[in-house]
Amino acid sequence: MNQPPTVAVLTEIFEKDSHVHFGSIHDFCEELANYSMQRQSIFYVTSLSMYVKNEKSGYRWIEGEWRKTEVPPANVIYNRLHSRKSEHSYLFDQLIEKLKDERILMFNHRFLHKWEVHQYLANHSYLHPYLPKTELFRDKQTLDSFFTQFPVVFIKPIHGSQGRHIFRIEKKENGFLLDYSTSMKDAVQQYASTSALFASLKERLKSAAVIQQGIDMKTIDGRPIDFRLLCHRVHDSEWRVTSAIARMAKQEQFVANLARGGEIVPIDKVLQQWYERKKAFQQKMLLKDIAIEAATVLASETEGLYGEFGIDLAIDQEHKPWIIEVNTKPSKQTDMVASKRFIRPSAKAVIDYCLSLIDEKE
Amino acid sequence: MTYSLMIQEKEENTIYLPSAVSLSGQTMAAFGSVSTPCRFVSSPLLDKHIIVTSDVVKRLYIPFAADVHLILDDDTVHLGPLVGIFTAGFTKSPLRPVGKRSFFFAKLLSQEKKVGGFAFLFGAHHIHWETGTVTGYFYTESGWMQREVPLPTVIYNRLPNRRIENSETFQMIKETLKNQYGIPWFNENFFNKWEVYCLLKEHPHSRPYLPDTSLHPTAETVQYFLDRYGEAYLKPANGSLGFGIYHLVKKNGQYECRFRDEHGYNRIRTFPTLSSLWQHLFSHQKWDHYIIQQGIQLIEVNGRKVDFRIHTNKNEQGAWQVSAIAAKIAGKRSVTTHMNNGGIVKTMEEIFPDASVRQRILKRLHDVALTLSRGLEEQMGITIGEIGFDIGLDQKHRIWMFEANSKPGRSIFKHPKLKQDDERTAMLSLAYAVYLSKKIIAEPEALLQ
Repeated sequence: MNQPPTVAVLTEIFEKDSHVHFGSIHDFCEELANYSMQRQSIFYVTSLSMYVKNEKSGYRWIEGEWRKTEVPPANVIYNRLHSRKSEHSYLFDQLIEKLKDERILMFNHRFLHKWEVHQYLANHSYLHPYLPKTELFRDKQTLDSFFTQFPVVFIKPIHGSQGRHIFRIEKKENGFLLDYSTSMKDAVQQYASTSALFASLKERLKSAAVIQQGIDMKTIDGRPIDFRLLCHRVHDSEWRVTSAIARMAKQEQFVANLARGGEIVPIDKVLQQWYERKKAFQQKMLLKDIAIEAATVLASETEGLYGEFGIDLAIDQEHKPWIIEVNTKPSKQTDMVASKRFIRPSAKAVIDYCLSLIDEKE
Repeated sequence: MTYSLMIQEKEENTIYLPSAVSLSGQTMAAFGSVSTPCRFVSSPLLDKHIIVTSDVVKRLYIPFAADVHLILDDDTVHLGPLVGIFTAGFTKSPLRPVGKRSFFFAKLLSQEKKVGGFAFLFGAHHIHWETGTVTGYFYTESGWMQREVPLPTVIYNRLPNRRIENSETFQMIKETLKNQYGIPWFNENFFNKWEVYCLLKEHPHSRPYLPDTSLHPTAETVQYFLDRYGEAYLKPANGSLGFGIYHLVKKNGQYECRFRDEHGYNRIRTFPTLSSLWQHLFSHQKWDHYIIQQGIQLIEVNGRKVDFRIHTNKNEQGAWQVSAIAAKIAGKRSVTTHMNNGGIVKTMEEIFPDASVRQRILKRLHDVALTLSRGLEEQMGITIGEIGFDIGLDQKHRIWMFEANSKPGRSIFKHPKLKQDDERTAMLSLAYAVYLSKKIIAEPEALLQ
């Protein structure tokens, strides 16, 4: 190859005056750039319109700043578009065509919504024990049927992220309590029947949603804990966990997402508070095994290439882990940044995977 | 066909069967090694179901309701079968009972729903000799659970390594279950490379695919192999996963040796003469458990050597079939195509994009793998349900068999396009277990030579 391997990140670029910002992955891009340098490869940041319109320019990290400059064609593209809208645009369709024509690889191919993720995982019966019962939320019958089986159910928009717009409903002796993750000022509401509940939900849900069995999550000081395992692909047939953290929900909150006030806690600290050392180790390994299996299954079920997943898991009061959801654009705030000079394992994993793809294509 | 077993909360000592099941005066019901007298009632209301009252369920140690096969002999209706998968290395965590191999077994056991019957995992310390029962691990819709059940109808051996398999404890357990309880095993031991070679050499149909091999390499045999074939492999006769393999090549009057050192790095060393190579690398090691195998000029893709992992399984009719084929491409500098050695797995479509070329090669590989499977079973005289072959194609497109594994690794199945083959091979192992169970019940003497 006459040109060094070239990797591009596709994301939303915010340009204002002479400043440029890459949103939630701004710092992460710097780490990607630094590590690419170490691996003798070219790295730049581009946007959907810059790339499709063939501007041959991108942002490179040069002497401590992002400079818009001429760039070579990328060999691999890491898709970090965060707006669902952009992946449904005409420009995105054009991008897919262009990549196909030019035989350029891109991962993650596109956002996967909660319902398709569930169906892909459910195709493999060995994962059933770890999948909360989930269905598309269509009618009152679904609601009734879930409440005959479970005391608590969740309703989540299929395109939702960061724990936004999630309803938690608990069946009580004299009715149903409805709690909502996004606005804290709304008091918990009470409904006498599933008909009343359904009518209210229907009004408040703006798009397709799933209904999911509520997991009786283990807690610390009454605050629910979940786990975020970041999985990266090493090559075609191998995935590994690059970071594993626990998140503790804010007081009075039922989701532990950081965007909803959740707080990061080291995973070992949580598990060792719950279990003796050996058991804590087995539980941690089990969480990792499940995450790897989920990533492997999704990579084989989906069309298009995937190299990164954020897998959310929880452990219930009976110590059993559950797959809560899978994120195709996992947040970069969950693995801690130690210092400016430090390159996180997840940044290295992304570049290593890109280079292995390029290497294999040769 | 299978019937959905339902449990009725009554104590009537009865099993209700569809009237299509033609009874001939049976008075006993059996599950695994346990049997009990019971009453049978034919019911025209039943079609795909059987109903067992809870007292019978309890006496037979039936762990839960599931789809079962009915196997009838003169006086007994056997429900099941009950398939035991034997292994070792249990942890104390019931959610992860065999550590990192737990998902491998979860995948295997979750195929049970497709074939019917009950399959469970157990180890030596789970057997209760005094009651003739075993506490097995089942994998259900809600995960791993332990249940006390009778001794199984058949046993599939999935011990993790040769060391445990050779232990006296294991040998004793195997012999006792086999001889005193009449329980057949399949894939009861790891294969030894030299034994496989000697046995297949006596099988005329298999013989043409065997590279020249001899036991206990010496400086003289190495010289002979290199003069004759240009390259050779030294392999431990009982090795797995490509450990301890040396690849020797005579090139431009020099001798080159590739191997993995103790730190896992691929190394190449070159020597002007064979005696200096032997002196430096081999003279301080014993070679009596090694074989030397003729090197084959494998076909190459993008300058890398390619060989094939071909998985064969016996199916629900007890007939061999090819259940998976994958190509393995060697790492740039490595000795073998093993995945832990920089090798990568590709599908046949990826390696041979031209459909007609691919079909032609696939057909030949299939035929050879089936011939070798039958040959091995015939020659070994033991029951085998599954084999993983390492097979190569040389540059003249001649087929060669390098290795046969009785506990084939699953690493090829991590390839996303081979996920279905993974599930199929697992399913076939259990389907064959059902076949073998039916056979042992119908003709118990046939299997106990």
